[in-house]
Amino acid sequence: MRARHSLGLAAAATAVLALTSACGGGDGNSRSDKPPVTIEIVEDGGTITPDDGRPIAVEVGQEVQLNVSSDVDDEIHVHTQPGHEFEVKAGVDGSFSFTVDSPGVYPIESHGLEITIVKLQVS
Amino acid sequence: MASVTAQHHVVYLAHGVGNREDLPIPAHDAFIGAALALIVSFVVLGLAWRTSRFHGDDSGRPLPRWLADIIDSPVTHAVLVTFALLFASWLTLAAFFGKDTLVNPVFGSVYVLLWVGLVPAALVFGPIYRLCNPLRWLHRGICALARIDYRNGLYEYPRRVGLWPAALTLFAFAWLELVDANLSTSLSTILLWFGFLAVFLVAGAMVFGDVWFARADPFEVYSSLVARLSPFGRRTDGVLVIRNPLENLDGMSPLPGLVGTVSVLLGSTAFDAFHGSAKWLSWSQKYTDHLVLVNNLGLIGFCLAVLLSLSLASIATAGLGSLPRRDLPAQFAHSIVPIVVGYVVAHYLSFFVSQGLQTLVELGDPFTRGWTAMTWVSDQFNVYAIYEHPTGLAVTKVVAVVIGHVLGVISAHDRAVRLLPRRHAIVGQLPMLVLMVAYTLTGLWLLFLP
Repeated sequence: MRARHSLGLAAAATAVLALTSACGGGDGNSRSDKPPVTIEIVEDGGTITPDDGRPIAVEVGQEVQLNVSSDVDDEIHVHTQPGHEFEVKAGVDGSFSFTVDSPGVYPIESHGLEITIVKLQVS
Repeated sequence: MASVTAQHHVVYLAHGVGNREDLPIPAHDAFIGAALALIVSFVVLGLAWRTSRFHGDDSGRPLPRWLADIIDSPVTHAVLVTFALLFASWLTLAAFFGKDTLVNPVFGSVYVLLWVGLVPAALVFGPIYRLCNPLRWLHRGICALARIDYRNGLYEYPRRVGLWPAALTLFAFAWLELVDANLSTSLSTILLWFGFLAVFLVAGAMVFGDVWFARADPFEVYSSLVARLSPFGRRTDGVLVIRNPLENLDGMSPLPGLVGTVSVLLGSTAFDAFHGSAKWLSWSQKYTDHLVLVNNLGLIGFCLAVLLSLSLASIATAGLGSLPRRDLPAQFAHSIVPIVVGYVVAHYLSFFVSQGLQTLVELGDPFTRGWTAMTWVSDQFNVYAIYEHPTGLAVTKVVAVVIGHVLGVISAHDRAVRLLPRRHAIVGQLPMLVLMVAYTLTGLWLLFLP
């Protein structure tokens, strides 16, 4: 059961990799010159800041850095394609970086609280 | 405290079908769209014809004989129906025996191929869903086994009920999709929902005959409404014709409940656009414990707002002839259909293209066993390519909303000059015109909202 599930995920991951590699071929991975965008995220006592899904403007290829501190274990999900899952440990400050190479709006969510923290507005 | 770069996975996150959204349209696009909509509205009001030009189902040029023969031939029907039934069976298998992960093709097939795809299908091919409707064929099969006539039920369908059952089932679908992300992405919920729908429709058809599907099936009714904007139709004498889509729209029967049906379609699409916005999130996420309740109220509120405003604006039509005011909402409801289609194109275009292609890949592997029959789709096409053109996408969306608005205004104008005495024809239609402008500006505002 478990094994078949992973097989499914693997298939999905393969499909996504195939997609994204086809994608990267386009405009030769343009990198932004702008300094990284930093987003401070604090999870404390069952609430998270920010929690208003505010739009954060980012350029294609600009580095995004999430600085997360939390009093509980959680996962931060970045709903890009492919997406990122960052594991947050209680009491340990985490710092996660990634770039997005395709325009669009992507939610960043707390998996534990099921809350949209911010939305990356990549253009 | 030590800063560490902790566990990190690059994954295919399957939370909802398509979490990615389009960039908000630029402000100047929204302004140009709004200005165009306003100008065209008053140009139509001031300069357009003063006596009704549309003839509804009496209009149209016959299709060439050979084409009409192909379209009406039993072979064509058999091929289409067989394909539809195989497709439905494939999905049923995936729903019962596939895994409850978002790569199960059921999700994409229901929310993307069926719900969104029926709009372009109806625009191009007309009321094709009615022919292919798997539940109609299930009902016919049962009737054939029981040796009863599928066209007649136990009772005559009450005319006064009209399309209200469809308004209800359409709302139920919007509810399934929009109110609770945990519900909409659960395979068992979808199975249950479609199970209920099948029982409701087949049992209803046993009671009222197969007209029930044309009054209660959410997908068939939606498809038939949109098909009125296609260039194809059947004339009053039964001949297949090609006609001006506005004439086609004019032929829609003003059934009771038509207002409710278009209100649910427009209201739920608007709510879908709004409930992803930062404005809604910043407010609704204060009530995370009651998010489902808040979403319920939001969805109902949007649909009711359309229903009320549309009914009031039609009833407020001034200077009536002999028609009772309560009949007016249904007389004008057809003119909202192009606005609905404009909203749908603007809101779902990129979602439909990217997730539609993605669903084709998934359909080749319904039990998530790594079957690769359909992976050529993602090998051949970058399914997300449409997002690489944000400017083109923004322009297309504004154009879709404005075209929908223009077609709506023209339809309402023609209906007004037909119903109203000549001296009231201009002032009388102002309430509807103002309402349409309001819908269109709201639509553009929703597209502009981050």
